[in-house]
Amino acid sequence: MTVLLALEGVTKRFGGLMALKDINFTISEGEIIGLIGPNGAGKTTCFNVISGTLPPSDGKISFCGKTIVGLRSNRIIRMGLSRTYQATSVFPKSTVLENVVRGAFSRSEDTFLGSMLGTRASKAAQARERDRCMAILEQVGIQHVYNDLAGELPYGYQRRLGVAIALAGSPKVIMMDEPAAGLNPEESKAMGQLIREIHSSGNVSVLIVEHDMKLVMGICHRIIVLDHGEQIAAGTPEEVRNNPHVIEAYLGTEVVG
Amino acid sequence: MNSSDSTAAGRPHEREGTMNRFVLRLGLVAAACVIAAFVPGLLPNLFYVHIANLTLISGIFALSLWIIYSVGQLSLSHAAFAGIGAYASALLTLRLGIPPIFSLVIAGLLTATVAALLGSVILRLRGVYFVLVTFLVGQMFTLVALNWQDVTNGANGLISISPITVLGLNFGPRPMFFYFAFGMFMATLLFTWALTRSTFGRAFNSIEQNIDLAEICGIDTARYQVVAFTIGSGIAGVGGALIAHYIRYISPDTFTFHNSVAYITMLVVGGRSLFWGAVVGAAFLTPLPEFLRDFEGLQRIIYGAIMILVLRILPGGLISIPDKLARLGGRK
Amino acid sequence: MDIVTLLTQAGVNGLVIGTMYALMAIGFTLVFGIMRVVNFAHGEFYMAGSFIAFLTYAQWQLPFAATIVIAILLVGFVGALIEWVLIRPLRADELTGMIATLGISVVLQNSALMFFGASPRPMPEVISGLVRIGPAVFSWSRIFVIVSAVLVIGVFWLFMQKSRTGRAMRAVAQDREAALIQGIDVERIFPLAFGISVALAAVAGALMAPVFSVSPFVGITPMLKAFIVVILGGLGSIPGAVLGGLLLGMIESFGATMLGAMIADMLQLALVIAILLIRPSGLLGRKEA
Repeated sequence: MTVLLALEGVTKRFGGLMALKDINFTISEGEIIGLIGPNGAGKTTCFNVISGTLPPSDGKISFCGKTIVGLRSNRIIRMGLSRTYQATSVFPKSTVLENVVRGAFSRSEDTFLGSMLGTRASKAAQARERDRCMAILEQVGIQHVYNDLAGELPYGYQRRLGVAIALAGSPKVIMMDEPAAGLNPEESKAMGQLIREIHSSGNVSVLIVEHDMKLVMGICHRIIVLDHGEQIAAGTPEEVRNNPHVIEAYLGTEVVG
Repeated sequence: MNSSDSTAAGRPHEREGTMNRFVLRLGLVAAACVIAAFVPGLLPNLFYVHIANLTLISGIFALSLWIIYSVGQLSLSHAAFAGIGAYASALLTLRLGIPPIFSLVIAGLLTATVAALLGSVILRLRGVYFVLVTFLVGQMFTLVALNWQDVTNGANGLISISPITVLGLNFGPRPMFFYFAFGMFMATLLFTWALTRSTFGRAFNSIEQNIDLAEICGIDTARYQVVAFTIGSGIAGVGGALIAHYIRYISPDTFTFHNSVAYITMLVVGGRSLFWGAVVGAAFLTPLPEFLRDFEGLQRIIYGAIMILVLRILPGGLISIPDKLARLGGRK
Repeated sequence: MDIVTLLTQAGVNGLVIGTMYALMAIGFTLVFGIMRVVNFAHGEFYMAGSFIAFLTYAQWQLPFAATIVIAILLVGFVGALIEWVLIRPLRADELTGMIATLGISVVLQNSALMFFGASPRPMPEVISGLVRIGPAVFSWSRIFVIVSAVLVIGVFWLFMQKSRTGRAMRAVAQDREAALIQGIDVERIFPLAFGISVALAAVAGALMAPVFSVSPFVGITPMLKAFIVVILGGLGSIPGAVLGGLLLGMIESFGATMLGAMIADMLQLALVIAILLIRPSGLLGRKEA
């Protein structure tokens, strides 16, 4: 198994506040990794640091063997590291299919001049793109609403659309920030199923932040636990569940799975 | 309307159909040209021709401002860039004797260069912060134009700027200038339309709708914003140069904050969501004050009032009227 | 004149314009902090204050204190009404709200132009005479402006600190959601804040009317300065507005004395653009989330 994403001693300070302290973990090809921890543990900050939204204060982050610290988000994403947002994030005034096409923007064979002049080659490229994106919509199960405006979709569909947009960039690793937030137990279960399918069908590694313990424990190969910006445990779901530090961190909050 | 592969408002049903659509567009452009050919002759007097000319130039300004707006940024320095183009083109002809038809192009490129340099610095700001900084850039232009006596001749401005001549054809007289302005306007219009359906247009619109998501779609949001600002401001520079060679007199008062506000008004009143809203806004608002010349002050009051009124009761602008009517009709 | 006299004069002049800028900037920043609206019409309310002073004091010969009260009440009421009728429905989107204020500015300025004409009108001084402190000579009218402005700012500060409404306003500016949860009627706060904001601009206009003259265009420069001050001090920060106002007044006064007004103006703009780029939250403002 080759290592795709590696964090070494990643630290993030906001003023005097330590949001992340010495984080170390790797994601290899074909893995599903969970990143959990109580509220304010630094999970989203960790995502933002990896995806280039925030610069780390210290430490190394490499993707496919190349360091990605200091690169802007769009570069990192084009290297094959996609992400989704915690809140729903779509292009509200565009159709569902058009949303996914935009997700594939950097993969597009369409050229500026060609599209400007409306050449046959450009039209063919766009048609191929739409076909590929339709297949992705099918994969996430919302192909029947492809022509609706994204802003008018029901919440659960918008979450799925977010995943489809991320998939359109043909990522090697996809990072999902609370994919099941706001979903009911049934939808949440379906989301877990979807993540598993994405993983198995496309040879995509997944890193997820999630509060729904049942979901995380059910699908992740390995789990990393953060508390107050520190990495307090890492291991299989079994190991993490029985780790005393983890139990302590979650004491008084929700019960671990 | 253009096909839905480009802009956001692409409604589901207008998806396919290519060949007849192309013919239709070609027909529209041809019809516009034929009608335009007779306009100067049909208008009752030169004053009307003058207004038609101003309207075409406003159309160029409003369209170019729309290009910047299409990445979600509102520029209050549009008149300043028009001014840079105007002064550049005027000085090139006055001092170096370059024919206006070439100085026009050079002025556009120069303005675009200034916009690219400035844009790469100021476009890290968004929303009202960007508006504020462009407002200040506009003020800066006015100060420089007023005080750089040796070059701009200060508040007195530059006079006797030569008219545009091409191959012996003099586009100085109003009816002749109409044809030139119409050509420039059509070029801007077609360019803007093609831009919206290009990959750039798709990137611009993604940024406008959701800049964070656009970035994680792999779109270089910083670069595309600079591109939009450069193209829009560069076209404004050409528009300013057109004014210089048409009116043949420019001063710092020709390109003030109020002009920038007027262009924004055109966008808002016409409709901001699609590029041709800018055209509708310019066509509606440019002639209006000219016919109210006798009432000093009133013309601008009406301008402001229309803007507020449209914001209040027709937020989509004039171009949303058909949609609105259709919806009202459907409800009954 | 020796250098000490020159600098003292410049200092007092800086204080006069500085307090005026502070008055303008406080109102401007208040509206931005609470409503997230950039009010491009702010200068027109200054202009309105100037004309109220011209009418009530110079023409009807009311006492100047009455002029100030009339300016505050009238402009404050009209401001609240404008917020209620015109800005409220458009506030949802930052840019749309701002565009609406551009329209309001155009209408107000040109209405004044229609009624009063473009020519500037001089105003009699409120207090005449000169005062000599050491080698420097000041006019009482300038000192009157400083003292009045400081008084008004003081009253405003007390209102924001001590009164329930003032505290509610600060809470809304800090965090609208939290304020809502605490049971603050945010919808009532907005017109009030807008009214107070533009009333402060009107006071500045009334106070400065005797120093400068009165015309439909007098509001433009103060508004531009309010912009600059607020960017210096941080959009939304009231202490930042006061300090920024005084600082800008001083920079301008000393800059004009030593470098000439034109270069001072250019330097100011360049400085502010630089600050906006390096630290958009201003020198004292808090970082946006």
